[in-house]
Amino acid sequence: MDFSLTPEEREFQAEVRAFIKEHFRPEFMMREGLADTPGRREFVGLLAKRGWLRLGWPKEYGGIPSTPMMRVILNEELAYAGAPNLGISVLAVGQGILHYGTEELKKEFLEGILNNEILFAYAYTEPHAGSDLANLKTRAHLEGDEWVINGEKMFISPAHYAHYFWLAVRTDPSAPKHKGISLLIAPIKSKGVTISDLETLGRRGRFGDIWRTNRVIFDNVRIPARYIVGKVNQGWQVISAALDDERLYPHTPLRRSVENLVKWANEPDESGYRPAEDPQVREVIARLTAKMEAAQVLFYIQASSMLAGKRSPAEAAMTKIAISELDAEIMSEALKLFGARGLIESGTPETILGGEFTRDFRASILGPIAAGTSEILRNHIARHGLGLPRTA
Amino acid sequence: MKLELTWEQQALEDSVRKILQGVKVPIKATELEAQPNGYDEGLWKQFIEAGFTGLLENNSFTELVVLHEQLGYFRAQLPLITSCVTGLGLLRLLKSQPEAAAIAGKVSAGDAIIAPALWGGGKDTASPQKGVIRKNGKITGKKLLVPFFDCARWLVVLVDSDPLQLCLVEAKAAGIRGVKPDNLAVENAWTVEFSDTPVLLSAEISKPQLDKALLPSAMAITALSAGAAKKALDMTMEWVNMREAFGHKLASFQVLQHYLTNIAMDTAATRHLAYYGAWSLAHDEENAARIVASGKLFAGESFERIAGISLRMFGGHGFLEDSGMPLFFRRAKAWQLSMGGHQFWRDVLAQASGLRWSATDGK
Repeated sequence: MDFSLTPEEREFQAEVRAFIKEHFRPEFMMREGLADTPGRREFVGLLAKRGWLRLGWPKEYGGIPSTPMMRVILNEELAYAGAPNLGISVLAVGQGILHYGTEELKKEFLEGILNNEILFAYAYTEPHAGSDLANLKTRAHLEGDEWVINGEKMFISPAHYAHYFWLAVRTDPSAPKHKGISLLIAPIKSKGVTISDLETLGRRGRFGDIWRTNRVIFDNVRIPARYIVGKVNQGWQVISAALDDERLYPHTPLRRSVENLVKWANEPDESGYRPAEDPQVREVIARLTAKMEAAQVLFYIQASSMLAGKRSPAEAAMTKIAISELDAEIMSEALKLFGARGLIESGTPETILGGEFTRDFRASILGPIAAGTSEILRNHIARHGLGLPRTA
Repeated sequence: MKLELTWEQQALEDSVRKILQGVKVPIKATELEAQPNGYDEGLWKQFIEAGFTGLLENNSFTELVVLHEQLGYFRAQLPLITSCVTGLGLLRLLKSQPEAAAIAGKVSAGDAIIAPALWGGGKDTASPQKGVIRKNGKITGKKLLVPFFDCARWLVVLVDSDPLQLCLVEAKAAGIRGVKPDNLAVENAWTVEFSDTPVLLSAEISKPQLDKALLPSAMAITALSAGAAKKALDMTMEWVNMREAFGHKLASFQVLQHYLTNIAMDTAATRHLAYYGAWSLAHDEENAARIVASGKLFAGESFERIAGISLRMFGGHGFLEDSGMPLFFRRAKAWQLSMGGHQFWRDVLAQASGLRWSATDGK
């Protein structure tokens, strides 16, 4: 076993760090929200200009040669800095088009994705199909050379600024649940699409669109028949692959959070008190650090398997659970250490570390829910990892 | 032992429920935040008319728990703990002065609000006195998260000195400035700056006196948490019995049943600790600090667990304000850290349990 990076990878890591040092500004902070802030756009634009959205893509589609590990490194460094990541369009959707799309779709979409000009929004979840995604009811049927779509989707966070839906629809209602689903690309500005805003726990009025998510209604929406990814009724495969790809790039800055806690504990307050000298504080931070290293190593195991071409749902599930649940724990414990002052998010100089922990506390509860709840993922581990039988 | 409420207490519970059922309390945290003054003035008037603002003056601790349990359940937001529990509790430390008794009378009658300004910005969360000093009889400095500052007539300010001092000031006195920051708590809380602010009344107090004065507040927060936890449990039960996944009601999945059982156990324990605390304040002074501090600490942990798990059982819907879960999630954290966070109450509990920092400590 060798946990070290190759010399080329180390060199690349240094290059990424230098880039972040030169270009990153506080207004680019990703954990500020899910919105398409000007900061996010500007920073991802810089990454695109540098060519880093193209890492590891096939040369014939404008790719730049790299080891798959280099993309993992890039994502890790961006997360550590609190910077936006490359986004699902590059990390998951583009890969889906590459593996399952027609040549025509590749020509139409890949270059735009790699230039950060085309953004996608997952449109999977429905009001009555969340964890039980295969129960989705949004219908699509062919009429001539068009798909006609009717239904409703929930939690489509980037719908108000992305360009296309990566849309899961039922195309054969008579087939078993997983087998009657297809994956379509639907332009968001299509006639018949209605997007409405949903108010969330993470939403902060003063900042408008930050933390926005959406409900989307499809009312006889018509798209070209060629906008299907993979074969008709085989969309489940495309969805699963995209989710697996996404899990290779977690964007939860555990190390940054723990290091920020250490920084806070080491700095004395006005009276000279240093939390780092308090055994209770030391115990909490040490416990979180150990868990952070464990989550990190689980991620390395998963990444190593996936990069070697092995898909392991159990390993991916373990990593997602470990990272998302620890993130929530770190935020909660940090606020306990900060005391009442930790409740202040912004508006006075008394915010701790710019209010980052307080805002992230709100968001952290979403980690164990989004992209597969911890409960569903534990079922995956039980069945696929431990070989236990399916239960009700 | 007889662990039921008396008929008078049951009657009180019924009357509070009746009042609260008659008002429309927003389900969204964001709507509660948007209330002018941060509370429902009509509801506050009804509480005053019913005499609920004077319960601490009569040492009616169990009645205070009954009241706050229902407030928690119905999600209502009032300056009751702020003014009529914490404010009055601290005024008792100034009561050798006749003006303090007159002010206490007005606060008990609901004629005016008094707000505590206790917590400074220091990193040592077990030592709240930091932030404000007294010089030439006037106070200067800053206190954080002062509740209902904009509605208060008086502030009772904890001053950093040896021994500690408690100072009563007029909320609109010269040299006082308030800023309302965004905060996680769904509460009208302010950062208040004092600059050579004149003091109306003051008293030197010891740390044990301060701890003791805050016990009814901790008990009331435990009761609020118990009521809110019960509401979260009821709403989650309704959801899992209605919502289906994989062809079954969510309620039929064993893992979720276990979560719900844990919530029910946590809720029951929190509720009983609140009532045990009330009983100890009235009848077992020697153990009151130990029991009330245990309740505050347990409630802080349990309601956070309950709010988090309930929200998760709603899935993505739990993240939406319409589900009502964000309110519980935010309040759980806020109540855990309010009126002394973990470190403060752990210290109180450690002292009350006989742990000593040094041979001279506690004298």
